[in-house]
Amino acid sequence: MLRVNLQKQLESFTLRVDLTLSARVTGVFGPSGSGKTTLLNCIAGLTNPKDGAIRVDDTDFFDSSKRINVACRQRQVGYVFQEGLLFDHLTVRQNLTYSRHDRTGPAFEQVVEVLELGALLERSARHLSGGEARRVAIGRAILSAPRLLLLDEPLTGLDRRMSGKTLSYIRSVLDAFNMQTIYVSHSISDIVYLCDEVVVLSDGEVVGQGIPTELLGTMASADRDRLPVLKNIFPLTILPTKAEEGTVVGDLGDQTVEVGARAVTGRRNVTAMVYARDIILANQKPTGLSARNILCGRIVRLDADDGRCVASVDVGPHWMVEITRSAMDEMQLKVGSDVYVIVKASAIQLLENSEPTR
Amino acid sequence: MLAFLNSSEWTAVALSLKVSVCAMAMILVPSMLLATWLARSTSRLKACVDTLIVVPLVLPPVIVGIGLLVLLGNVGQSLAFTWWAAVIASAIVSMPLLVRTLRAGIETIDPRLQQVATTLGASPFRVWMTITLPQCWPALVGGITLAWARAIGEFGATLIVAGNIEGKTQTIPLAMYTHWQVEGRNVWPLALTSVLIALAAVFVSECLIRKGRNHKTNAAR
Repeated sequence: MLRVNLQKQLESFTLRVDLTLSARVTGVFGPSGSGKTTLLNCIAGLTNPKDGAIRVDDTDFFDSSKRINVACRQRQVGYVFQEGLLFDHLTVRQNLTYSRHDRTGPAFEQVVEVLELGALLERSARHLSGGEARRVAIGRAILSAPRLLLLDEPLTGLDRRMSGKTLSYIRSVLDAFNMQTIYVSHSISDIVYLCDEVVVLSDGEVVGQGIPTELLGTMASADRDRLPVLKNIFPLTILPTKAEEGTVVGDLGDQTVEVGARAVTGRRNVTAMVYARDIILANQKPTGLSARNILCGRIVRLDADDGRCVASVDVGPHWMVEITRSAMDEMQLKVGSDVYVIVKASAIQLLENSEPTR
Repeated sequence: MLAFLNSSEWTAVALSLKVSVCAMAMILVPSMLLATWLARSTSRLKACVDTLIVVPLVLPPVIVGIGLLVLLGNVGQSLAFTWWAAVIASAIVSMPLLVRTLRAGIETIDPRLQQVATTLGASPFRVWMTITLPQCWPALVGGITLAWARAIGEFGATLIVAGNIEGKTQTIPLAMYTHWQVEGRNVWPLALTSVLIALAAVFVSECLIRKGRNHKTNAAR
C-alpha cells in the first residue's frame, strides 16, 4: 500500500496530494502540466516535497516531521520514464541486468519471455525501434525487483499501432509479475484498459479518485470542453473460424464479433479498439442491417449531462457507448437495461501485428 | 636519433613529459568532480566557482607564477624552484581547459539517464563510471589532450615559480627560450621534438576516442 501526503511548490501552482493507494494498478490521469510526473519523482526520490510523508507498506520513504528521506537508490522503485531512456552505449542484455547486483526479484528468463526480448538481447540499445525500447525499459525496471513500479506515460511518441501493441505488453507484465504499479497517462482509454483505480490531477490538486469507469462522469461534469474522444480497448481472441472475405471472428467471452482485418494468420490473442461514438444501441433486435455485429449487452453504468450520455455496457468486456441525451430518454435506458449493441466489423480495429504472450 | 638532441635537451624533454603527466594526474579527479558539479548543480555558488576556475586561463601566466611563488613560499619553501613547482604551475593553468571541456560534454548527457541508473540502485560512483563516463568519453579525452598540451607548453608561470635550472626544472619551452637567447645554439631540434610530441598526443587522443566509439558499438551488438 502506498500512502502519499505531500506539498511541493511548482512554477505555477502547488502540488497538494493526500492519497492512499492500495489497488494493484493505479492510474494517474490529468492534462499536461498538472503535476503527474512531479508526483512520481517525489515517490521515486528524484525530487523532494517541501512537507509531507511518503510511505510504502511499512517503510517510510520520506517524512518531513521525522526528518526521514531515504535515498532514491535505496527506495527500490522501478521507474519507466517517457521515451524509455535506455543506456544506448550498452546492449539490451546489459540494460536489463544493470540493477542485478544485490537484489533478488523476477527471473531474467521470465521477464525476457513475457516481453518477447529474446531476439534482441545482444543488440545495441541504440538500434531498437520505439516500441522495442519501451519493452526493454519496462523489463529493466521489473528486473530491479521494485517494491513499486512507476510508469510515466510509457507510450509517448509511439504511433497508434505500436502504442496498442506496447499497451498489451504492459498488461501482460502487470498480470505476470503482480506488483503495485502507478501508471501516469492522459489517455482515458489506456487507464480504463490497465488500471483498477484512477486518481485525477488538475493543477496540482487531486480532483477525483475512484474506479476508472467513474472517471468519465467526473470529467464530463468538470470540464466539458476537454472531453476526450472515447475509445474502448479490449483483448480479443481471434478464432480459427474464417467469417467471410476480409473479416475474422474474435471471441469476447460469451459472444463473438466479426472484425474487419486482413492477414491474421497465426495470430490468436490481440488487442482491439472501437470508438464509443461508432457503437449503436437498440432496445429490440434489429433486422436487415449491414452491420455485422449485433451483440447482447446490459447497461452497468450511465453518465449523462445536458448534451451527451455515455453508457457502459457489459458485452463481455465493458464497452463505453456514446449516445445523445434525447436518445437515452426516448429509449428509457437505465442501469440494468438489456440492450442490443450494434457495431460494424470495420469499426473494430486491431492494434497490433503480433501475438503478445498472455 | 639520440644525437638529434644533446643530453641536456633530452633531460628537458623527459622533464616536460614527467611534469605534464604528473600535472594531468593531479587535476584529473578534481576536474571530473568539478565538471560534474558545474554541469548539474543549481547552487548559487556555481557562478563564483566557475569564475575562480577560469581565472588562471585569463590571467597572464607571469601573474599566476608570482601568486604561486608567494603561496609556495608561505606554505612550503622547499617546493619552490623544484620540478614539483613546475607540476603545480602546469596543473593550475591547464585545469580550466579540462574542466570546461568535460563540463560541456557532461551537459550534453540527458540527466534523466543518470536518474534512471539511480532508481536502479546505482551509487553515484557507479552512475559516473557506467553512465556518465562512457557518455562523455570523447569530451574527457579531448579535454585531457587540450590540458596536457597546455601543460607541456607552459612557460611563464613555470619560469617564475620553478626557475630555469638546467637538469632540474628546465622544461622544453624554457630550454628553447635559453637556446634562443644564447647565440650559436640551435633551437630547431627541440622545436621539432615539441611538434612531434604534440602530433603524437593528438593521434593518441583520436585513437582513444575511436576506441571508445567502437567499444560502445561492439558492446551494444
